[in-house]
Amino acid sequence: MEERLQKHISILFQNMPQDDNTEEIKAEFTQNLIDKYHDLLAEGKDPETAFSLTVASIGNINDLFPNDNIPTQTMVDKQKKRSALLTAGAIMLYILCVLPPIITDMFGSQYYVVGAALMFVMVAVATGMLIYNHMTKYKPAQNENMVNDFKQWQSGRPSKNTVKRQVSCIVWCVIIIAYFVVSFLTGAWYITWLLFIVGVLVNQIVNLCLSLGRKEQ
Amino acid sequence: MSIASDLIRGHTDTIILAQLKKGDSYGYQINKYIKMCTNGGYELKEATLYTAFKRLEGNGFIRSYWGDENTGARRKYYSITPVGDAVYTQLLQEWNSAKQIIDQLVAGE
Repeated sequence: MEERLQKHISILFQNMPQDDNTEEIKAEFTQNLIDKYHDLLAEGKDPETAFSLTVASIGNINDLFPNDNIPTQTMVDKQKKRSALLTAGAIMLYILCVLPPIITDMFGSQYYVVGAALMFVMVAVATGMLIYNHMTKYKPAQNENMVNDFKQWQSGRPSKNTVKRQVSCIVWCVIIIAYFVVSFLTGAWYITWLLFIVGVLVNQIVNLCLSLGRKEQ
Repeated sequence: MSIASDLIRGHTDTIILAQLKKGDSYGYQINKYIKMCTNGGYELKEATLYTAFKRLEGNGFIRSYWGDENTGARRKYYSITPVGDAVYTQLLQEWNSAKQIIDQLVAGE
């Protein structure tokens, strides 16, 4: 039962900053709660009741941590607005990126490179905007949902999945840019599509490396 | 019990300082004492108690140290500092005068 208490505390403190301070609080809580649990047993409570009473006496642990990483509603609204702006702007750039080649083409084929270069700059900026938006987005901690917490706790550190997604996003952007650069420069459109298969390969290798790295930990 | 529990919560700091004045102690022991004095009617939540300890320690009223328990698990003890002692005396005075005022205010005659 003591292990159960310890496990309960670990899950409870899951979303808190994992530092020495939290470890100290956990150790202190665990000791106090184990004492309480044994006292309740000594009073004649059955183990299940004693466990529930002990757990209930913990109270609200959010009070223990300064709330500076929990944004207010206005901050969330502001972030949503910014996020929408970035995404919309990026998509607009993607759509408009074909314009420079078309326009420069009208002035003559010698400006062709300028048009292509402008197009790639636009694609790169748009992609950068999307990645920046994704990385800085505030994701609310789901500490109300114990089941989710437990699932996440079982599947390991959640940050790894985020890293995986971001790496995959970057890999694909690079592949797309490389596809267009190589294709425009060589004109070998009939074969350059193979780059996408290379992309799948690179993505899988990266995923494998990340998974192996996690296992070693 | 609701007036009593409000008062207890409002004087957590004084209660902790009073207990530590008697000797070094730890969270559960203090909570157990509160429970005993209220005939099991009231006890502080672990988080409330811890927040109070942190606040008192931050103000330099108490000190904490890890005791070496023979039973295996380590326990965090708290002890009162001279500053805490002075603050306790002041808090006690304030409480006594407040008690007098309330007694007068709620007296029926």
